Amino acid sequence: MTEPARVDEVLALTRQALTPSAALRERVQARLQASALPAGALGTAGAPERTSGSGVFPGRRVSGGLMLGGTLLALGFVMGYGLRPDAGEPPPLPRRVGVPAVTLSAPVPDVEEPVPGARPALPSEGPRPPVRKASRAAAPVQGGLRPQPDDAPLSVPTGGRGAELELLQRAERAVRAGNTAVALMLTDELEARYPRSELLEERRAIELMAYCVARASDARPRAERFLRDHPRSVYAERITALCRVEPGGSEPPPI
Amino acid sequence: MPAAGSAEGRSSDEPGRGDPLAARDAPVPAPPSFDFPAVYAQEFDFACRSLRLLGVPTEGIEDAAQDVFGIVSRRLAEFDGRASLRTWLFAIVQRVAANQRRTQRRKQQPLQPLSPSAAASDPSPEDCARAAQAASLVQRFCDGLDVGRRTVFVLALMEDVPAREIAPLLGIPLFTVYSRIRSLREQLQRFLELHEVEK
Repeated sequence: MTEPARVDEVLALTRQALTPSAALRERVQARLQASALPAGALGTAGAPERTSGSGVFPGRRVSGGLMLGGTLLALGFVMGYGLRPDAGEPPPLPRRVGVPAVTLSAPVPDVEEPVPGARPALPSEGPRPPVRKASRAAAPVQGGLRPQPDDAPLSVPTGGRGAELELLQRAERAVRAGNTAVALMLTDELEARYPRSELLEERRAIELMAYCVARASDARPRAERFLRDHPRSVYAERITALCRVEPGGSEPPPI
Repeated sequence: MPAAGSAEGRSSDEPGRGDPLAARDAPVPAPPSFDFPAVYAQEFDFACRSLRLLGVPTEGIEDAAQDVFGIVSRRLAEFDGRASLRTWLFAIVQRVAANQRRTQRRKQQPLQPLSPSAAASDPSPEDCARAAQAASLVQRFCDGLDVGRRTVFVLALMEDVPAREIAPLLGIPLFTVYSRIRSLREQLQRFLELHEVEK
């Protein structure tokens, strides 16, 4: 007969066995540290710089150069996709003073320069359209965000279109890197923050591509539905290739 | 790091209690501020254990932990201290674990109950083996629980989170949490009897 004390013993042993090693803690720490660099792009002016000497998560130690770089990247992206350049930068996201500004912005590595230690792309991902990283900010690439008409109203409820675009960019990069969990989290966040966005099609396309990369069982019907709803989408070609919905194309093998 | 979920933090949000003017003039408690490195240092083990018990395999822990703390770093500013930090963090862990499980299912990698790299204990091979065996049993037990009971199991039995902090997370009465804790202990006891006798 198992005594209640045995239950406690088993729980304690389980706790011991599942406690992560110091090496794992350091590896994750290093990955987070590496991913914290573009945090300044979200705008943290006015927040106090953290002065802890540990060097861990230097979210506040974002130089003006990085912030400027992030701003220029976002501006270039906006102009490259035909959005109104006179709309200006959106106001920075509200952030409580005294909290580190480390963000999830960069856990998503670029295709050409993967972050050391980052998860590899799924082998099932298949061929993807080439990405010209250098020209990404200046000109739209295939499968990029859909150009918006010049007179499109900027009716983003909170955070502004720039913030939304940035999240979309991150989600798209996450898909390209095969980091589908992060991509889906970002699209979920977009859904929560911008439920009636003009960039709904882009968001759905990115979400769909994440499902396809992750080989979700319902990815193909979703893709077919998307292509039916948006036959002229700039994402159509990419989704067709990624989700293999082309007539005659073979269905992704079950995993 | 301040304790989250303080009583005054909750009571200030309850409408219709006492004199409204007095309530208006009462000093509003400052929201607790959290330092991300401190949260990471304090809660990393908790997050990883919870991820494991929520079904994330060993090989996915590193990615999942990165995702969890990436979100934490981004969302910590939004944490208002009304819930406890652990239950707030656990909600993120649940979400990430669900995403990880979905991804891992696609990859169909065999689930390993434990790996030496993920275990913190070095004492002796025998101790490690006992711990691994216990963890394997508990994980099997966890796999058979629904989401709500698994949450109670992980938080209350594994991590000793007080029932009063779990109740708001699950949106159930406090006594239901107590009842579930008792029931889960009994279930685990029966499970251990059955499986340890089998061995």
